[in-house]
Amino acid sequence: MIGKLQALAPYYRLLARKIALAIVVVACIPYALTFGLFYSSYNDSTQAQVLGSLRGVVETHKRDIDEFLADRLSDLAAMAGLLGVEELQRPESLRRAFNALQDAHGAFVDLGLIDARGRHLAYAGPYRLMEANYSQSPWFQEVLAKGTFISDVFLGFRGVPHFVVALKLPHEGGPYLLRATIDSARFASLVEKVRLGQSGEAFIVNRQGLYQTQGRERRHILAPSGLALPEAFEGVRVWETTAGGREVVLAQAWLKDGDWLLVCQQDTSDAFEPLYRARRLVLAWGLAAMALLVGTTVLLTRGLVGRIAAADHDKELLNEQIIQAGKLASLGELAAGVAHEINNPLAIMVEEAGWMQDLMQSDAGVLAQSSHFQEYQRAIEQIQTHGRRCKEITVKLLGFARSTFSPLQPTQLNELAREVAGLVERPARYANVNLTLDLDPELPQIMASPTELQQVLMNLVNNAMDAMEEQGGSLFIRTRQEEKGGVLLEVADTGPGIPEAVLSRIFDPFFTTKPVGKGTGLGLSICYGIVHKLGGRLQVQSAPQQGATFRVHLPARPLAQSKPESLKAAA
Amino acid sequence: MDAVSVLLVDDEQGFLEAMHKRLVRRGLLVRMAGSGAMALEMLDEHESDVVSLDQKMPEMDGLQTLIAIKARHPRVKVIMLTGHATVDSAVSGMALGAFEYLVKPCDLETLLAQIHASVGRREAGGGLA
Repeated sequence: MIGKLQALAPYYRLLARKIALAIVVVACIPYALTFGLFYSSYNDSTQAQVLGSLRGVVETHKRDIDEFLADRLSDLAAMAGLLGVEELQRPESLRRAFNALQDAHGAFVDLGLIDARGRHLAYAGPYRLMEANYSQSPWFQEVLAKGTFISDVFLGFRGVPHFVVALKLPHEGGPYLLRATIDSARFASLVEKVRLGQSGEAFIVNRQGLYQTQGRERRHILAPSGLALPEAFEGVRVWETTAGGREVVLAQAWLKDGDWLLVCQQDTSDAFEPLYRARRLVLAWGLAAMALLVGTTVLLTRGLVGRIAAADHDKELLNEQIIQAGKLASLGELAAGVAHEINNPLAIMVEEAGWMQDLMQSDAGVLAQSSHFQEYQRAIEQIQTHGRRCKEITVKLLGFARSTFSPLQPTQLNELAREVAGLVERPARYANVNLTLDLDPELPQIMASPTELQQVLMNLVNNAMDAMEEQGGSLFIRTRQEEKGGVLLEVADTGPGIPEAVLSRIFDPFFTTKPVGKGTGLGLSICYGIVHKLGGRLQVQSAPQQGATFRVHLPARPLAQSKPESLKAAA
Repeated sequence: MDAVSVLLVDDEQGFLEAMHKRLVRRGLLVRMAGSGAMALEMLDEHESDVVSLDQKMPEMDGLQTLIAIKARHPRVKVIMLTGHATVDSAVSGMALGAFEYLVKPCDLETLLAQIHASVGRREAGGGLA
């Protein structure tokens, strides 16, 4: 039985694995789908959020820069309107105006009033530019044409990058121009102050793709950027791309009516850092939940399969018992049939031999002459003796298979045990067997057939005595109370034990280990049949050199009493 | 005192004959019947003190025969002979008025003892007449 279970162990392991796999797959598919869906939508929305907030930052920044440039033009226009061209021509007035502007925000480097021929009429600033002639400068022509102008960054007379804002002032003596140089450093700081994480930067390139500000990387102003400039568009464009071998998020916006392109960029890893962090967390949670699921499944499955194995084991035991009972029943029928058929001829043989004996007794006088007289007598006695032996066997066989004729009555096993002990006391002493009764004084009576139970007990005790015949030993007869009013009868010996190969067959009819002629091999199968009929169980436990213990478990009463009415009527 | 008269009823001829010879030898008046019907006929013709009746016979079985005998010859003692498998019905037979039942194969001594017991006499020691 144990070996069988061990042999089945791989099967149960495989079963556990299959069930666990099925549960995990079934549970994980919806989980993974849900998780994936959640994950991707979370990803998308967070990404959109990151890009959206970048767009917001850049839009604000674009507005700030545009406003800064527009404000500088309005500064000039306000000043011109306030003072008038005549006043501005006076160097003192221009200087005062310049100083006032510087006091206000310090965005200007210098200020000059220029006539239509490109010559300075007045100049306020740190450089000696009174003699400069701007008539050939591109911005000069632009201002005359458009009225206002903000230049790209250029080197100018001083060879220093800067840009100018200029305003045309109409006047009857030909137009005048008010020109101011913007503090490049201040402008650059305005452009670059955009807050974009660790790696964010902002710079401006002009229509030719030349840098107008240095940006974070301290590029050379007016160096070509190599950027592919987009067509003109409104607002801000944001997208992810690769720039300078790095993954970046790029935002672009046209400034100054499409003259300058504001470029803001941030490393993708930096821009999406919060997203990545959240993603790692979510993934960790997801994996932890998955691990929990798998772990729980494996544990539950193991428990489940354990129960299945136990149930299988029970079923196997039950099957064995049913098979054993069936085997006994069919063998019993066969045995009874044979015994019954043999009975009559046997009776005739014995009676005919008896008849011969009768005749020999009356003819003794004549027959005594014969030298074979003694032999005749001996042979006839042998026929009778062995005929009777045959009869005993058939009686046993019939007893083994008989239909129930044993009225149930309240039976006290302790009494039976004492009776049997009394019967075997003397032979036990001769066989050097120490007999011990260990009886439960509280043992309840059970409904059973005392004669049959006596037969069972006698049989078990005789077997135990036979087992210890050679070496002696100890024999225990125990009774114990069991649940629901049942009782346990135990017969244990310290004999040589029952070999494993024999153990599974000891209840089989005609199976015996005793020498030919000494045992019929029916004792234990009769016991088995009786105990079974009484609704009980007969179990054996033994190992070589460990003795043998037979346990008879009997219920308070058999479940299905066979024909109690007819028996009562008969009694 | 008249010898005890016995009717042996059994479908097994060999058994009938063996028993017949041995009982006659022990001073009984013995007749034999191979079936229940024949036994009834013979009893109608001439009553016996005791009937040894086999339980298991073709056609009319022991129990039916017993009922018929008890109906027609209530004074006749009936000893049922039975196999183990039919002990139940033998016990029923006791309820129906049989004197005793014996489990087959029974030997001469047992049967003889019951025959004497049924007619209220002490066994004649089992010795030969």
